[in-house]
Formats: sequence, structure tokens, C-alpha cells
Amino acid sequence: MRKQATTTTLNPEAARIALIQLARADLAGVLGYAEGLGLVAAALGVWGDPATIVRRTCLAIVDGTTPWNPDRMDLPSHVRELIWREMEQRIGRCADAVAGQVSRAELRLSAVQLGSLDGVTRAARWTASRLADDRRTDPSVLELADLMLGELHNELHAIIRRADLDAAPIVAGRRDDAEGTN
Amino acid sequence: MPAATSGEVVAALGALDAADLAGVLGYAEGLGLVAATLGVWADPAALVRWSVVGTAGGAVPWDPNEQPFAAHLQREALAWVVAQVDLRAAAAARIGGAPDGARLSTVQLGSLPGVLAAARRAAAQLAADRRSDPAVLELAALLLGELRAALAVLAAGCVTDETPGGAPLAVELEETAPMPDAEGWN
Repeated sequence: MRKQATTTTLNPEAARIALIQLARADLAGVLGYAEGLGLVAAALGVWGDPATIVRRTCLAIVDGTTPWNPDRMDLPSHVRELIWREMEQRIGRCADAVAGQVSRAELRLSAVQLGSLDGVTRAARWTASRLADDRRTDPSVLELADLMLGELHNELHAIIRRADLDAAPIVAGRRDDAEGTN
Repeated sequence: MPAATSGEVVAALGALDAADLAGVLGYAEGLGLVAATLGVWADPAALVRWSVVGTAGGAVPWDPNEQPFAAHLQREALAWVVAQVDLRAAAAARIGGAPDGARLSTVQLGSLPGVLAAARRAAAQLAADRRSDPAVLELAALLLGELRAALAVLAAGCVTDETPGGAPLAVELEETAPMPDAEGWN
């Protein structure tokens, strides 16, 4: 995951696009994607709370810690990609920790795992894609998405409001007044 | 569904190659990986072995005219995993809520049927993947040899299809069954 050296929040135009693209069902789909990856990863010993991972990833985009270019990829797909990369890295670290002299192809992280780790991670992505579709209409995941959206929308609206205030003529007028009193 | 004769099972096993059985093992592996996170542990190889022996012994019904043997073994693996997950869900529902609404893992966000549908997707993916995985092919070849030898006993008539429950095969079945509630298959 590439990170910027300095943190700048999402630009207002991207924030407006994010508000449109991050609808309720879309966020539920992202949660389902993280859940699907998590269900397979947990069997390998890599545990993570899907809701926490999704929230942290989204907030990192909003506060500018993780860059997002709306021209390259829509926000839900971008968040999914980041979550996938994080999960892959965590499984990789877990594999490195237990590998020793064993090659990656021969490495087994679970008694249930029969074949290569790469095959399992591919299966995890399929599971995640399937669950992403399913959770778009799952009432309890939609409810969770609603809760998360409240916070994310507040952050995105704040970025847009700040930009609107900076651009408003009244700001210039105040500066004139302030200069006049000095 | 009628129970297949041991001869039919031996013939079906004879027609199966290592890649076919590796696919079945991969299918059980995919189901097992998701099921493990829900608290249901299953050794994929033991599960497949149990299905083959159970089918040959008549405990697991199979109609050769309706379903290929490999597909039958996959269906049995799925049936066992679903039954075990349902048991856990029912136990969780006794504490509160409906079985479909049960959460069997901290990773599970939505309904159980959604998780099981996703597990089937993982299983189908791994079934295709493991057909060319060297380690799973090696395991499949070993298992195939062992099962063919074991079922040859049936085919030779040492243990007939009419053998009652106390016969050696049934004893072996109980000892190697990967689940405690083997009677659920009957």
C-alpha cells in the first residue's frame, strides 16, 4: 500500500464523488467482501474484524492517508482492493513467520488446508466476491452500513463545507473588514 | 434414492482418476476452510473417505444413473458441513434468535445462508484449482489406492451388501468417521 509522506484530506471534488459512490448497498457490499476474505483468512490463523477493517480503510481515504484517484477506480472497488492487499499482506506475514525452511508452495497454515496457499487466497477472493453480492441485500449488514455511513458522510460533508466556505465571497469581505480596523 | 451396490461403487472408484479425486478433496477443503471459522472442523480427506466407504456400505444413498460419483461425493461433503453448521446454529438459537440469524464467528456479519453460499463458491474454486495441485494430487493418489483396496474386500464378497451393521466394514466406518453423529447420514 503506497502512502503519502504528508497527510492532506480528500479534495472536495473527490469528496462529492465519494458521497455519490458510497451508497448504503455499496458499503454493505464492501463489508461483505471483507467478511468473505475474513472467513477464509481466519481458518489460516489471520483474524480481523471486517467492520473495523472497512471503517479504517474508508477513513484513511477520507483523511488523505491513503490516496484515491476517482478517475482510475470507483470508491467501493478501491476500498475492496485495499482490503484485499492488506489481507494478502497479513497472510504473507503469517506465512513468513511459520515458513522456516518450507517453501511457500508446501506451506500449510491450517489442518484443513490440503494444497498451496496461493490456491487458498484465490478461493478467498471468490468467497469475498460472492458474499459482496449477497450482503448488498442482507438486512443486518445494511444496518451496519448505515451506522458506518453516518460517520463517513459527516467527514465528507465537512470537507465539502470547508471548501465552500473558503470559496465564498464573504470570506474576502471579512478580511477587508479586519484590515480596515487595523 | 436407492443405495448403490458395492460393485457399482467399486466400478465408479475404478473409473475415477487422481485429478477427479483431487477435485473432490479441493471441494471439501474449500468448505472446510470456511466451516472452520464457524467452529466446524472437518479433515477433508477423512470426510471424502467416509463418504466413499459410506456409499459402498449402503449408508449413504447414491443413484449412479442420476449423478456422477465425484459430484455425489461433493454433495455429501456439502451435506455434512451444512448439517454440522445447522447444529451449531440451532445450539446458538437456543440462547436467542433464529438459526438463520445466528452468528457463529466474530468474522460473520450477515446471515448464515449467505456464508454457506459463499463457502460453496470457495469450494467450487478450490475443486478446480486442486486438480492440478501436486500435493493434493499426491494425496488423491494415495487415498484412491487405499480406497480401492478397501472396497475390493466388498467386491470379493467378504462383506456383502446385506451385511448387518455389526460387520467389520461398519466397525471401520465408525472408527474412521470424521463426525460424531454418523447416524445422521442414514
